[in-house]
Amino acid sequence: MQIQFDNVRKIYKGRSGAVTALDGINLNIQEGEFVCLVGPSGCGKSTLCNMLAGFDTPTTGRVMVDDETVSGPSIARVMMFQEPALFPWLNARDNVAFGLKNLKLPATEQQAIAERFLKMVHLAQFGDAQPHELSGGMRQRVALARALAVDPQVLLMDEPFAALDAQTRDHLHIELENIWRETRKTIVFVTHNVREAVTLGTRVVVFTARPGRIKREFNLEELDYPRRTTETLVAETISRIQNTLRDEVAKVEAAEYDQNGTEIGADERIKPDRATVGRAR
Amino acid sequence: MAQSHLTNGAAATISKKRVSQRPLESDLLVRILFIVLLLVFWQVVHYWVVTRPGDTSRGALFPSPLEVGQWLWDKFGFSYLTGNYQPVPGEPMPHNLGAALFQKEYIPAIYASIARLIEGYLIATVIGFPVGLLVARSALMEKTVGWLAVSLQSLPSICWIPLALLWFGRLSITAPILFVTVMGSLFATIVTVADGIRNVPPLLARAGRTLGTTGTRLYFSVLLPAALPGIVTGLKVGWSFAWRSLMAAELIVNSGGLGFLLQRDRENGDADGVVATIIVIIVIGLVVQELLFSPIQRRLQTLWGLTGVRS
Repeated sequence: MQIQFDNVRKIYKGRSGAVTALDGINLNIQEGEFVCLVGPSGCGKSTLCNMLAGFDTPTTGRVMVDDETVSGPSIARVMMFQEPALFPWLNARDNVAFGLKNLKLPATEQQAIAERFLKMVHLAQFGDAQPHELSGGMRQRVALARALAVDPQVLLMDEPFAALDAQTRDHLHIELENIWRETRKTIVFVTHNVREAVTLGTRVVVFTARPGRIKREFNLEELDYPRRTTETLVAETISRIQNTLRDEVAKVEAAEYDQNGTEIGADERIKPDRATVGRAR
Repeated sequence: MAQSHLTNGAAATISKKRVSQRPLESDLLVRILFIVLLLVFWQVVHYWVVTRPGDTSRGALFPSPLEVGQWLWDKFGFSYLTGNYQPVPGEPMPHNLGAALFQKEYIPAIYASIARLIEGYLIATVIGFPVGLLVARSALMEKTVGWLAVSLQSLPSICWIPLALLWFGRLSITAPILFVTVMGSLFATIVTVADGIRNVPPLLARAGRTLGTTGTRLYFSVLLPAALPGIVTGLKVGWSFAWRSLMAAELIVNSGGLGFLLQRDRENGDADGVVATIIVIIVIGLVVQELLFSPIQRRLQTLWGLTGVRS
């Protein structure tokens, strides 16, 4: 399986004219990668994720999975959102089993799969609980189980832990990392949290401020899991990526304070460069 | 670490259930006390009005709660129990309480009104519910039928009566009443059911779509269940509009039912009867609300966690 963003550009027509959200995105994602998209707010990283999910289409360019252009949502590319988006009328188990109905599996098998994935996110004894009876972290784990249960080719996560408190988030990082190492599922993970990206990803893609372009990619394949932010190499990588991002965040802030509303970054073309983090080869 | 997290969640659930039960009992107590106070106040005001010297007519036009209670007791036929039952002129003395209840005017009037209500409400719902679904689903339907429903909803249903009498007056005496009830309820049902579907969080639909649910399956397994609280509200609003329209129509069209009793007692100058019938109409509204819609809504709220302790 291979994911390919081919010269993707996205233009939104707003009241104050056309806004270029994404420009000239070329990105390849291989099977089994855990790619984190990092950028300042409004850089279009979520839009990119939506395009891959099939909820949005590029204005020009193409998004392709295995040489087929993405034209709509598919059970092969399941997305998780910042909100758990659980179905409130179903209990945790039936939420996890929801997508399985579309795979036309026998009912007993659906239940067995749902139980297995509830166990994977350590909620085996909460199958009968209604979503509102669970904590925020538990709900997001049910959402993770629901997404993984249908065995998608790629799991898309749009800031899935942003609404959780720091402790729950750390806990879920460990859980997600373990699940990824176990299943080697291809994951595209959108975040504005550099620490989160470095802790989890095999690759971190940094975006520029609007219009979003790829500024730099960091290959973290050689950083061993589990990654502790107290390790020197991990801490160094975090600060390197934060430095790369700082200019872009500053541009967004400048634009928000700018009374004249001049477009930012329109005249600079940034060539994406690649960096590999790890021990000397 | 995970363990403590889990037990916290469970504890929060239990405490929440305890919180949501208490208001029900104290609500009822407060309400009963309030009604008693209201009756006392009414009796006091009545005493003050009737005992004003030199004006005897005011007492008759402003009945006391006891007089109204007496009226209800007699006209429901409960006086059969106390032995001072007066049979309706031209009819035999009933042999049991049931026969007595059905001989007197309230039970037949309530029966006539409720039967019309059910008929009108069913027609309005059978038409309004699917139309509401269509209006929520299609932009064209929304701009045309949805807009028309909102416009017609602003017309007080009593305004349909002249037309109803012209069109259906010769068909039967109850056809105009049915027409007004349907028209009063139909548009409210369409508008609220459509709102219920429209207020479904778009994120739930996206969650369904990303899991491979499309088309009619998306509608029936995500949108419709997600809209259920809104739909129940829609059906409830439709019911209350039907009830009001029916009473308005019965007041004007002379063909039995509670609305007719109101009008007849006004013509006879029986203020006792007018007030008594108003109370009967209110109580029927409350009973349907409490016995039919409230349990459904409460059940949905506990299942969905809409009681508001945690968002």
